[in-house]
Amino acid sequence: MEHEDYYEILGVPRDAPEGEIRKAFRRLARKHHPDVNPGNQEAEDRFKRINEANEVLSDPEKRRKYDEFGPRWREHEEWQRAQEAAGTPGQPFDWSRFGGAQGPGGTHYEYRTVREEDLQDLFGDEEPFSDLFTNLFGSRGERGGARRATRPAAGRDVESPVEVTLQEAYAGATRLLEMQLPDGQTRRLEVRIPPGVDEGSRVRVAGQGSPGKAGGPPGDLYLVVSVLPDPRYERRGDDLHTRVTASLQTLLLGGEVQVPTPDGRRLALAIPAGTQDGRVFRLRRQGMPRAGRPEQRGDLFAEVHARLPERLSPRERELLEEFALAGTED
Amino acid sequence: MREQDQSGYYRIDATVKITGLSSETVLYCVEEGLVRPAMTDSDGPLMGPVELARLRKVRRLTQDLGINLEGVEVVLRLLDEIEALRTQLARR
Repeated sequence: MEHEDYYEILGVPRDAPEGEIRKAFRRLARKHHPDVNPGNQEAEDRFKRINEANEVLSDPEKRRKYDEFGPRWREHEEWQRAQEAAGTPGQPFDWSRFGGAQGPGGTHYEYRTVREEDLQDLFGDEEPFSDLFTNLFGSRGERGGARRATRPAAGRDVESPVEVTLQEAYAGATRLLEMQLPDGQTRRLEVRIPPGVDEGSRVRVAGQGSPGKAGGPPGDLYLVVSVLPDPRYERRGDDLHTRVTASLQTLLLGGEVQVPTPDGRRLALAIPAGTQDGRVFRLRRQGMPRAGRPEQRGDLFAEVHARLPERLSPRERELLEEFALAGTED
Repeated sequence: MREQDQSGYYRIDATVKITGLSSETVLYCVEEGLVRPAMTDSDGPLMGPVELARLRKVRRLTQDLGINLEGVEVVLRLLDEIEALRTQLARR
């Protein structure tokens, strides 16, 4: 197995004081303890590595040797012991006696990982992977496999993708989910998607994950949001960009256009006389809401374009020709 | 400034104001899984009413009863376990 640096495992610098190592170990051990992650082999393996790192780094003597000899510190320790037993201490350490490697960093040496008493210190009880609370509140009077098999364990969290339209992301939505239960029955569940969700937002639905074991609480359901594109709007962060059209007269003489919002409202936008085609107007705080940040709602940008008449009446043509002749520009 | 918008979700800064906990404590609770955010987006975790109630419980345990956070963790998990057992019993 590839050796993983003990300091990296515990996430502490090489000069970390003892207290910091202890704190890091306790934090990681709680997080990766098999009782907290039932059935998660990866967490269990991680937990073992954390224990191994702590076993070495929390002991000043072992830590000193680890710092000096790296992952093969224990081989050096055994060599020293053998030298002392043979009555020839002080001999230079012969790496070749241990697996043929030529020094620290060569072939890795595997040794035991979890020491039972370490776990008892932390979590109590005779069983290494015991319940966190047993040492605080006493044994449950059962032992061995039967006890372990009946211990309540929380169900696993489940993820489910959910697609929402931009309109739904803007105003919020509800979704009716159909869930297949282990007994074959179907359960319907209405969940609320709050306004302001974005691509990748995760909405937790408490208690709707996998059922717990032996009476343990169920896991949670996480809805992973994907926002569908809307041809009318381009989303840039919290801002929305859209295009609206105005008559030539409105752009020339001034007036008003309606700007639709994703939730179906129509906002009146005043167009000043002499507005150029393609001018962008900002409608403050009419863009995407941000969940939990009401004061930071985005803006809605409306790009105004001229809508030219396709057919002119004789009178319109006459007036436009007159306008062209009187041309004040160019 | 309104602390809650129509979504009913709160960022960490608003959560801190409502619960009276420090942001470090709120983040610790999230990191240790004592409180599972109702929603998470690119800006971080958001709390709903259920999570706020749980964080208020953390405040009572830490500030009123003087229990440290590691102790709070044990108390909360025990309370969860009791709640689950009660639910289980009620179903029988």
